[in-house]
Amino acid sequence: MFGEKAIELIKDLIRSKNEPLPPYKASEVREVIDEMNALFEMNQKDVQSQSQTQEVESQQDLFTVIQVRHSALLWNKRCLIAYHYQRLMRLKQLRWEFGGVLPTDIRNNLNDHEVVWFNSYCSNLATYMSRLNDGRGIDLTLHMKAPKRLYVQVRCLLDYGDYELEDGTTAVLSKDSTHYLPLQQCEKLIHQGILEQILT
Amino acid sequence: MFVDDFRKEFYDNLVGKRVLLMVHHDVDALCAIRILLHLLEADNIQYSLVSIRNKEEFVKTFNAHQQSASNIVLINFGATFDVYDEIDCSEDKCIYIIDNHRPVDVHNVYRPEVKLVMRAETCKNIPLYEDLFRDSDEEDEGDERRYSLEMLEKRKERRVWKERRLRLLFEYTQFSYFGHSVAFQMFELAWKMSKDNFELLWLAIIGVCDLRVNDKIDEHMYEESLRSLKSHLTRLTHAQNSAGNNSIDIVFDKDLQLVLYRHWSLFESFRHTLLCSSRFKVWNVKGYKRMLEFFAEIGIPLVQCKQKFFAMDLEFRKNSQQWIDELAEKYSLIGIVSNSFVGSRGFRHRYNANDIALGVKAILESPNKEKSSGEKFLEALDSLSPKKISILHHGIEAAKIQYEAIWKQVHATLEMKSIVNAGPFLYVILHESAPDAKLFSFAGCLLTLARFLLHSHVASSRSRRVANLPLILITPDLCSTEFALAAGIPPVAEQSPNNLLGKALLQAAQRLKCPMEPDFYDGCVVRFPVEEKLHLIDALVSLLS
Repeated sequence: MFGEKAIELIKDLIRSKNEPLPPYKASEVREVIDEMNALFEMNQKDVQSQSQTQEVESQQDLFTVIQVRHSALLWNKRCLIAYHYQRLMRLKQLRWEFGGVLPTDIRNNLNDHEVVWFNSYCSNLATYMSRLNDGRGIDLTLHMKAPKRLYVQVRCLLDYGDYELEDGTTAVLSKDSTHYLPLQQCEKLIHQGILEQILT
Repeated sequence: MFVDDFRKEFYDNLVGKRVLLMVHHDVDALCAIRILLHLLEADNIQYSLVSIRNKEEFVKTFNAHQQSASNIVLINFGATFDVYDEIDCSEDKCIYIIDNHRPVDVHNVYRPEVKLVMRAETCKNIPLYEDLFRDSDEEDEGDERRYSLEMLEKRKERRVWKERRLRLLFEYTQFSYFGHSVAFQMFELAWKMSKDNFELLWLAIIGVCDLRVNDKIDEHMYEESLRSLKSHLTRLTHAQNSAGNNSIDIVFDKDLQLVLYRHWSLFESFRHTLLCSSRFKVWNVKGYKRMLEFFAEIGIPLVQCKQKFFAMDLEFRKNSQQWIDELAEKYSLIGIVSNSFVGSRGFRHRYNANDIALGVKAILESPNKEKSSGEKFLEALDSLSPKKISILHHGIEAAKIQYEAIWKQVHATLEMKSIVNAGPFLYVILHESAPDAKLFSFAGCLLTLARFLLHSHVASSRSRRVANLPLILITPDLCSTEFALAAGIPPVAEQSPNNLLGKALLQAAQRLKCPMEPDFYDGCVVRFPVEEKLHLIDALVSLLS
């Protein structure tokens, strides 16, 4: 039946929702395109033969057949577009989450056109971000969600010593002292177990 | 220098810069710091918070942290000594002192780098600047060998001035006393900034109650604070009625003034309340029987009395307050029912503010040696948070242990008759072998014990004169074995909590040339080398008689 391969492509993509990006199914795409070409040629041939015969009865049947083939053709086209578009969207999401350099196993799953698209998307995004903030640039891929508060109350669990903050001041992290620091800068120390966040 | 407008001259200067907060270990300071942290966090002001117990720790921590902040706030310590002299502080730093200890050191009063965030009118009789300080260029550096008449006159005048200065200073620093609760002052700051709410008010109430239960302020000052707290409560209740529910409900009502009775049994709590125990003299059999008689007369069966309060029968639980109140006059227990603040969280937790003050203090003074003082401080800070009520419950249990220990010690001391009358004062020396000596190595608990001892002694003594005698209590400091602690409390008959014994102990030590350091908690508790114990008593006798 027509269109089955195309629907298989879409289903495959949906099934792989948890993977970042499945390998590009070049052969399946090829087969769908072949099917479309075949359909098109059959239609072409029928239309041409039709123009020579003049019987009304057979004309009616033929039109129905052409119509069905044409719908199948459009269906395949739609599936192919959806398949590629969805992949690009996933690729775009990867760019926002992991930055401009893709891991090799994902890179191997791309086809050549996708690589080209990805590179141009990266450069577009970079140009845009560097223009923001009065020409000084801002990294939009950080802070995707607005934090609830900029600062957190943390308690020091070990004697760590001086810790220099981004604004140039230092905080002395001695055992059992409590501090109110920018979340972004003490996140790492919380992960290391030097600080503990206090919820009041 | 005193700060007039807390908001403009203190708080607004903190905005935008890092603040170093140094906090002393006591309940009032903890409440104050919680209020201040609430304000600082609302304005996104970065801070570092460290706890301080004594001068040595203060200097050490200051040196370690001074690079990190330009504004330094000292909470509940620092006013009574010359802060600037102790530390090596650069010019651009500003030190703010929020303290309820009085008298304020004169150097702090007249130094522009030190800002005193307290009401100037609570510090009485400060000597004038001209009487204390002279510009040094007046000093005659000229030729010493020329004895002109003019010079001699100048010298004489100088000597007279010096004597006068010493006298004035002595008169000024003679009595140690306490000003308004710092938590309450911070609450007023929050109120002026329109950031006050029920939680902050509750903290302010606990701060005030802490001063009262530890007998730091007198009845008059307490009443005054209660009145303004009450008006704040009324105002907030009106304001919040429309805003919806809040996490704590505070009511100002008549309540039994028995320690921790909501968390204990009526019987136990009766026995451990200073007023009742000294009235009934519960340490002897007769007194004990009289107490049982009292319960019988109220009409509560003993089985019920010894039950946990919350498990008592509903009828007894509801009416006990009224019944006790009716009989209070007969048994001269005036003041056993009086106004206080009760806060409730949900349906389960109801607390008298006094009990919370005791519970938090017990956490701070926990004798657990495995925890550092910093950990105890943080634990106490957490116990005031509405989300960590279980820590508070541990604290209340610890407070019960403290009171039981105090009661046992009082009992033992009276039985052994170890209160010695030295003439101008009474004294007791506790030994290291005392079973609960580890609890009494902390200033707060030590002072409570001293009060219990003095009141019980006065109640059981036939002589009337003892009511006019102060008490000195000496105990070994188990935290550092070569030191001992001495606490001095004013006589029972004395109404005001002004205390001259701290100064007297210091002077006695000066005569003996033994190093002595007043505790940050209260000026009347001092720490000195343990071997000077008996010399100190002798020196004190000769000083006071």
